[in-house]
Amino acid sequence: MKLSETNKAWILLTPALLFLSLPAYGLFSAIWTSLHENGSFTTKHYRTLFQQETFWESIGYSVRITLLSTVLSLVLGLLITRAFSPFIQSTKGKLSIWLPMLFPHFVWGYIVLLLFEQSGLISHLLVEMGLISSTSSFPIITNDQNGIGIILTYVGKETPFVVLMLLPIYAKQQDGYKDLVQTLGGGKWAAFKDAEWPWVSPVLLEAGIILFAFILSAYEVPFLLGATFPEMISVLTYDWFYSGDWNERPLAFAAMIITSVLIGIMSFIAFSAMNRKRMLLTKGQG
Amino acid sequence: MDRLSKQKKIQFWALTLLFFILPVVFLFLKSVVLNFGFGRSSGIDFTLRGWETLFSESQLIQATLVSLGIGALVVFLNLSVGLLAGKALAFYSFKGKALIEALFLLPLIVPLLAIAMGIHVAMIRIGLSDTWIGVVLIHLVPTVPYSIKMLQSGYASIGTGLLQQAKVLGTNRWHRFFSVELPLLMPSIRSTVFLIFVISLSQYVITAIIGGGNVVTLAMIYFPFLDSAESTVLAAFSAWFALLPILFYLSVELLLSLLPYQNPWRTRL
Amino acid sequence: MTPSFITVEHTSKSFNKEAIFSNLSFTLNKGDILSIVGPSGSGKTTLLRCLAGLESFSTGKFLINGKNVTALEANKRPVSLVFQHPLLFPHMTIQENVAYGLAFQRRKKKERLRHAQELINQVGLTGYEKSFPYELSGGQQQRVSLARSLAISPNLLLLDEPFSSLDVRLRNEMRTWVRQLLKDQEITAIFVTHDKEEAMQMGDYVGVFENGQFQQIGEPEHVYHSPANAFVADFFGDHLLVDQETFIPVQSLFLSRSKPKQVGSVWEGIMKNKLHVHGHSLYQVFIEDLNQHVTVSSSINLTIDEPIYVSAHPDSVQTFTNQQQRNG
Repeated sequence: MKLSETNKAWILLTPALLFLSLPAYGLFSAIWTSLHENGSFTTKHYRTLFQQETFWESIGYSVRITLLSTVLSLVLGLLITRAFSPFIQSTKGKLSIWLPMLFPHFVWGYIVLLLFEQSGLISHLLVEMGLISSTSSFPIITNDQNGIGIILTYVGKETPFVVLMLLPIYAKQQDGYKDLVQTLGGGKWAAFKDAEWPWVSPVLLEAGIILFAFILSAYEVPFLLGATFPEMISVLTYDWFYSGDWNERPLAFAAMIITSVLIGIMSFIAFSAMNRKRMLLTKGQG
Repeated sequence: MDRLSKQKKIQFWALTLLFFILPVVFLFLKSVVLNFGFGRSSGIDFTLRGWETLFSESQLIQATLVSLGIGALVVFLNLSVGLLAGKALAFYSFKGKALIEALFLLPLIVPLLAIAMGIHVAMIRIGLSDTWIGVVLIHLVPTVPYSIKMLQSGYASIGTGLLQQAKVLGTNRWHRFFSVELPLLMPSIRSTVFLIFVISLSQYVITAIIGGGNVVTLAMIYFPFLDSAESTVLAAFSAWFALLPILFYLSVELLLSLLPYQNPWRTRL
Repeated sequence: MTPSFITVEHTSKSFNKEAIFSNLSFTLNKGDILSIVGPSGSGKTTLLRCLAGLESFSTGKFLINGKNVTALEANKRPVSLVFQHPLLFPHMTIQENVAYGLAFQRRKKKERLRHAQELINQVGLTGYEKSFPYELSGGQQQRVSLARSLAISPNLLLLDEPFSSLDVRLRNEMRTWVRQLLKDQEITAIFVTHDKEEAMQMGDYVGVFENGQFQQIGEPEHVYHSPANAFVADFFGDHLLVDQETFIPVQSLFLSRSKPKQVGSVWEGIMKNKLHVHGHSLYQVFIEDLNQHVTVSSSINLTIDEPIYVSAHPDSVQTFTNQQQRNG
């Protein structure tokens, strides 16, 4: 018997769907744990969590760093791809711009340390050039309270990622649409808005959401480059998870669930902002 | 126009040099330079001691092998899942496809830490915690979504036409896969292998939670090194993280060249 | 009566309950070439894909040489399809491309290569064996594609507008050449096109396809001169449709400035455009009463938008042949 096309598709998708059960189970188990104590339902962990000042400080700090890193990476990635896509498409260009992708995040963090520490390369170079008197007058921008070192690391690592996502669009982009807009009397801005942005924005949105989610909850970089206070939420979570005090473990779960909810809200806002724009666009055409 | 593009070219290379290439070069230098001679008139002292110390650590060799093994298995599983799902998403249209595509992105959006903590208990129950199988499984979470995406676009760029043509010519599924799909998917497969291996190598926190300190990958010993080792050793260790994917990639390339239509001496596209 | 080589019986195909074609039947003898011609969207490509096995018929039977192949997958059917685009495997040489389908026939490798070489020679590409597809022109690529499909010695060869991506001059050369090749090798073939001239040139029989139905199947000349219905007559364009039952071939029409008296059928028309073909002046005339354009040869010198009478002898008025379907 011949299988129908739809059934064939589902058979091909089976291993991937099986894989999905892994993160799905993990997430639901985390939610369950955060809402139970000794087998019975409770919201106690959340109440405890919300009373912790460190938690709120950590969330605010994490979101600030995450938004800054994400937006900077997206903007830089977009600008670089727009300006240089013909060069990036050459093998040499690809290899050099994707060089940071070769390194784990924490190694890129270590490179940032080597460069930007008070005893790092840049500080020494500035002293050599006579711009600052000694390395100790170089500002502290790693393991600092503003998270500059973390942001530097993420921007350096994620900008190539954004370029990687955007490049196929710029490689395929037909100049026809742009030429059309311009022959119809539209300027450079109109050409960008009508012939470029509609293709680019969905990819930027996707990359933005992935980056936001990743940076908000990743552990390695803030562990390496963060300050002792405030801590990013992942570091706080990890501390709670592995603290000797078993009462703190459920807090770790609750903190991560709140983080997930935050990511969910963020994605929802981003998506609906874009869909609203799309709706306006289609209405405008009607 | 020509001058403009030349100018742009210079800008591009200046930018990549400054932000991407020089930092990496500096890391490699740092691993062989004891002292850059700042503040003194004396020259730069080269040394291979960092690398020697690094490779004299038996722990490092052991961890490298563990990382390679886990990475290879993760890559293999990724390719298996990704090729099948990528094909389905590229060539078939069915109800709920948009939903499925969105679902495949979810593992990248839900915090990995939450997933790992959530799975941890179940892993203990079925005896997979503290084992390399458990670690391989958890490494699938941040990797498989990328594989599916990359291989989906790989299949989409081949198009249905060539595959239907192959089918009409009377060849069976396996022969079609090895003679047409695989050779034409090679560019996507290469980037998948590379990226997935790097991601697997980079996982510290989820490896720590699921592996429980029993599965010692490179990432697991890197963090303790940060506090103790001297700068040349640490720089060498950091550089090792970048060399390993290249090494892995080259050996995979060697393996792939055994497949049909992969002879490097043939004229290529 | 000997059983037909190719038999298609009461087949239909629908997508999501929407019928693409229904209750379709025809037969072909070995070595026959059937051209299927029709406007785009008429379902002719879907029919071809069903015959190839890339899609399945919703109902009906398809027999080759008495064997029912309806349930077989595309790769198990003794049917080969040449697509609109050459679709050569870019990573294989010309020789590997042509020999591709032979991998699954029980022959020695040497024998397979010899057979592939034979076909390369036949399509006139000797010397290109080791070349890669991108080194060949569009016409050469399509010839390789044809050789590749012929290599597996299919019982039925399907061609889906194989020349449509070629330029006009090359297209004409290829038609003559391909038809000769198919005839020489006695290949049974179905050729799909939207070009009526190509259909008549390529086929022993022409099937006019519209609305999921054969409007008429027959020898090219017969279909051309005796259209079965208004659609066929209109599609070939060389007839003036008087009403749903009758038509007048254009060569029986003549133009005059004054209204002729002795003839029965006269219409008022307006000259819209002038063409020159084979040394004749052809006028495109719009007849308002019939809401039709008709192209008529004439020696009078007309200017654009000039009113003119179009007339025909009463005995030149013909009735459409009934719609019985012809077996090839």
